[in-house]
Formats: sequence, C-alpha cells, structure tokens
Amino acid sequence: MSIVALTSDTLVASPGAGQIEYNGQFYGTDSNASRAQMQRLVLATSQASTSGTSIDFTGLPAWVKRITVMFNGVSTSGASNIQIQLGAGAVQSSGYLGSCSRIQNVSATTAAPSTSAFLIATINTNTDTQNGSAIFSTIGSNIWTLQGILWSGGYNAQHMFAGAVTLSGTLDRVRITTAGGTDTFDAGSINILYEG
Amino acid sequence: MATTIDGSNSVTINSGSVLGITSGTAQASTSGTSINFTDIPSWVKRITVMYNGFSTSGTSVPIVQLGSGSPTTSGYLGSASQQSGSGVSVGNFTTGCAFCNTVGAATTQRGVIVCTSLSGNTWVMTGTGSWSDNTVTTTTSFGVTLGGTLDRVRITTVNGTDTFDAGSINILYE
Repeated sequence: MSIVALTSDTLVASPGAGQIEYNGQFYGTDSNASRAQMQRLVLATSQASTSGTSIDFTGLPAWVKRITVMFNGVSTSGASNIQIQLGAGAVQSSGYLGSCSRIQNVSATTAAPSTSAFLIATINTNTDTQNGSAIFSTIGSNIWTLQGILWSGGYNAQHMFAGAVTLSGTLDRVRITTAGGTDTFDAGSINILYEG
Repeated sequence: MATTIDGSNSVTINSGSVLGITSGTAQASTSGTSINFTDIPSWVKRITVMYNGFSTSGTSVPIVQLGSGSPTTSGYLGSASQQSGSGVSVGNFTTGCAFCNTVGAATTQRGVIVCTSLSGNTWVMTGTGSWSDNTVTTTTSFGVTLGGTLDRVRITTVNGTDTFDAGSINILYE
C-alpha cells in the first residue's frame, strides 16, 4: 500500500517543511477532468568529461520517457566520432539506426552508418568541442528515438542527428563514448535530465 | 492552487498545474493516409511526435498537422531540409510541418518532431530525422497559429493520398 506523508506548517508533523512526500505515483486531474501523471523531472549529477574513455549514467528509473543529454565544451584526445549508447542492464552495442550530418562552410557531410551506437558528432581533430543536447524519447515497447543538434566549437560547424533503437529491456543507462572506445575525454562536462 | 489528496492515490488540482508526460498509444503506420491522435487535453504545452521506420507509398512529403476541433491545413510557416554527402536541400511548406524536403517511395524515416506552445494558440515545431540508409539527416522548423485550443495531431502527407506502408508513430504530451 502506498504511503502518503504530508509535512507543512499547517499540519502537526514536520512544520515549516512545506513539502508533500509520497511513496507512489501522483496523478493530477485538471478542471476539465483531464488526468495525467504528475511531472517527474530529475537533473542528474554533472560529470566532468576530462578523463576516461566513456561516461555512464546508470540507475535510471523505469518511468523515464525522455532523456536529455547535455554537452558543454566536450572534447576528446583524438579524431574518433562521439557516440551514445543506451542500455537495459548493460550497454547495448547493436541495433542502432540513424544518421549524423555535419554542416561546415556551406557543405554537408554525413558520417558512415553505424549500428553499434548513435553517432552524434564527427570529429575532425582533438581541438573540436561539442556543445548542445541529444534528446531521447520513447515510443513504447522499449523503442527509443533520438533527435539533436550540437555546435562544434572548434570549427563553427553543426552536427544534426536522429535515429531509433529497440532495447532488449527497460532502459536504465546511457553511455557517452567514442567510436573505437579508445580516445579519452579531455575537456568539458556532460549531464542528463530525465523525466516522465 | 487547490490540492486534494484522497484515498484513491489521486491528486485533484486546478487547471494550470504541471502534469507529467503522458504517452499516447503507438499506432502502426502500415495503412491509411493519416494517423490521428485526438482528445489531447487543453493543458498540454508540449507534444513530442516520434516516428520509427516510417514509410509511405509515394513521393509526397509527410507532414504533421495540429488542430483544434479539426486539423489545421494552412498557415504553417517554416522549412524542412535534408543533409547528406551530396549536399543540402531546403523547402518551404504551408500545409503542415514537413518531415523533410523531398522523399521517395522507398524512403524509411525515423526521428522526432517536438511541438511546443509559444503563447495562446501559437505553436512552434522543430525536429530532426534520419533516413533508412543512414546517410541523410533531416531537420524541420515551423510555426502555426491554430483557431482554438489544440486538441489533436495528425500525421499525413502533403497530397493526402499517399498511403502509409511501414513503421509506427506515437506521441508524448505534457
């Protein structure tokens, strides 16, 4: 059975806190009788992308319907493309369908297709930096879609990307890494915002 | 704001409250000339249209139309583009938010278009997509002012007669 705990300065328990704590799910019904689950929006802990070959966000709740991956001045040590993988229990490395195009100096290039991850940035050199966001939304049935645009600070270029993947189970993790998995992150920060 | 918590694990609140993300029911885009999501609540401020493996029988560009009582079929301002190694192409559309600028009957698309309430009945729509061969990326950005409160989303094609023949579509609203 769910537990409802009310704490506010108008109640006896925990005066001054002014919060509602609820172990379960809130549903709201508006004046037009429209009913929906109430907003859950969580900003994870930002991670410095200054070392290592991958950055993982794990332990994502089953109720998540959207994940925004945010990049701030992210750079790597080499020229391998930056990619994102999702996972259910473990990082999934197959089944990704999508594309990533780079526009620079009035011309466009599109990265070679990969099914092992979503490519989100085609890196020219280790001075390239990525800024922007990649947004994942679920269709249902463990199908996740991707959209996003990144500004490539080192070259004043833009990356735009999209795709979809069917996971083997309920999503619980996001990994940001590079193609090949050997180039190391050397600048910037990455965080995720997840909601449901 | 009035808030009531009762024994049914529900909260009753006045309009204007922040409610969470609701998923529509995924619809197979394997037949017909349009897919409709209706009865969207009046408090909705953002709608995410997701398409996966989407294809049609012809060369008419897929579009998203919003509506109030019925789909709005005019007044869209914006453009859609596609980028590949062979270049960039951009086109304007007025009957809906286009997935892309051009399309072939064999093209399969996946991506997302996010529709956000700007103010009143004015909505802006942006998104990116990818084609089946993974060498083309599409982008789209549109605005439209509806005649009333949004209550529906329609996915169709510019000519309205090409039929869907693959994939699935769903929405999230919040």
